[in-house]
Amino acid sequence: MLRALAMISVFLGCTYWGIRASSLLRLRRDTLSAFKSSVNHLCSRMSYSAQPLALLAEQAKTKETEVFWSLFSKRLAIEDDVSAAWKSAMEYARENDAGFASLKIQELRIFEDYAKGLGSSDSTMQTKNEAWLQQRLDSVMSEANDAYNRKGRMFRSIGILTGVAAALLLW
Amino acid sequence: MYTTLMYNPKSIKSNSEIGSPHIDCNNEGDMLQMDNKTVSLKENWKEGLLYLFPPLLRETLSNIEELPIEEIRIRTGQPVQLCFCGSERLLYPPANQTLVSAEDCAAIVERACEHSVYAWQEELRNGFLTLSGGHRVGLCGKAVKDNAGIRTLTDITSLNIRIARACPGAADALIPKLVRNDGSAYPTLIISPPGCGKTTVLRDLIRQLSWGLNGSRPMRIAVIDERMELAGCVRGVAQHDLGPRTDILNGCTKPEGIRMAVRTLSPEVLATDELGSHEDALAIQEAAFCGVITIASAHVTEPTLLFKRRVLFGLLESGALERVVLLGRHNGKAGHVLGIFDGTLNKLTDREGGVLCFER
Repeated sequence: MLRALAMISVFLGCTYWGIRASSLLRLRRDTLSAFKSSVNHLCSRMSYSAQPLALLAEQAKTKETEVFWSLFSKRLAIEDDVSAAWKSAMEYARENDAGFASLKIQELRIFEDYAKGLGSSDSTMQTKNEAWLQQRLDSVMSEANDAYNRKGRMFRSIGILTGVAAALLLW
Repeated sequence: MYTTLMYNPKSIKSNSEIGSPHIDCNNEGDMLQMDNKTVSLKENWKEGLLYLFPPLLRETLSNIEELPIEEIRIRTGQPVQLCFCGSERLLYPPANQTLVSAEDCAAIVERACEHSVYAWQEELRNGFLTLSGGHRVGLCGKAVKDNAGIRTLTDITSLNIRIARACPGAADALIPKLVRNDGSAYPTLIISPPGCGKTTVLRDLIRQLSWGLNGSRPMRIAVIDERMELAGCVRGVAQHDLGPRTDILNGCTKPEGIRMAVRTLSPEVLATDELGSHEDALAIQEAAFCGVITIASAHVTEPTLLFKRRVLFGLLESGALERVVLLGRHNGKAGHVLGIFDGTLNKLTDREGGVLCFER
């Protein structure tokens, strides 16, 4: 009886590890995609709306990126510059949201570089800044997509197979 | 902390004398007793403006207690200049500390634009920003041009922050002379050199006529606020009270605005700031033919100079303007009516030193 329970536990544990590793890759891909969509939305609003950045940021949020944009919007009223507001909102998002926690350092740097020019110039420059970000995001997203397609399945399979092997060893 | 130096055109004053040299504060907080009327000069500018400045300057300005500051002038690499009525004060940073840098100027503009420079392109193109509270930030820097003219200002080198201060009652002394027996207003031109209170008086005149105060009857007023100074609108919200029957056309040139207002708003009174061009005069003339009364201001030092400014004198000759109010400084204090004249520039009042409208 105890052995059967141990087998089930080991199998479930290994499978969970595999699925979790795979879902982190999916989360990263989805967060990047949602973020790209939010930035796109933000910039298109900037080009025709004369509303302040804090308001546009609040409107740009999606379900996946809400934690970041809501705080960023609030921090803009407190922080001296956009970069500082961006940094503190990103730190908070990484601590409280698995999607943001799954982002790599190089991706965060791209966002920080984008934030340095955000709101500080006219709409023409904002459009250029956004185009630059989209270009960088495209390559990062393509890599994230590949990683999920290749490694995601692999981690899931490894998890299940390891679980099965360990269960058999315990038999 | 910044060190300070006070400069007065007539005499150098010590720091202990800086205080409020010509205003007597009573014990009721921010209320000032002036010429039989009490005007609120609540110093709420700190709430509305301090967030703009770099930390060191913010801290210094938060400790400034003098009343009332008219302007804060910030120039790259120079001490900060505080302008009071008839005097000024320079704020120097401590040794080994940077003066106001180009980055500081850019940061102030960015904060004034709520980190949304893209949303203030039109204002930047015109060289000023109107902040919540009606304060104005005049900008000086490098003009970026395109085929349509100046596109924007970059590399900001100096800023002139003009602190808005509503003076309800500033037109009290004028209204009886500017209102006919039936309660309607005479078409009036308010003239003075810069910084003598034209806009403040005009703003209160609009408010009083709109409410129908001091013997006037309530009238529909259209304000053509080309430089957005009269109402100080920020995103469609007027920062100054111009009365309940006042419509405000913002950012529109005066001739276009006047014609648009006459066509669509059917105003009884048109109010606008700083008349000057031939096109302005032509539009006012057309409005006068439609029976619309104009109240306006212009930069003119004295009434006799109106003879030389044919554009303005033509309006007096044709009857489109029937009263001229001359404002000026008396003993260094702005906001004095130095004379009220009729359409032929005959003086209707004769009081030495002028009548105090408001004081700053």
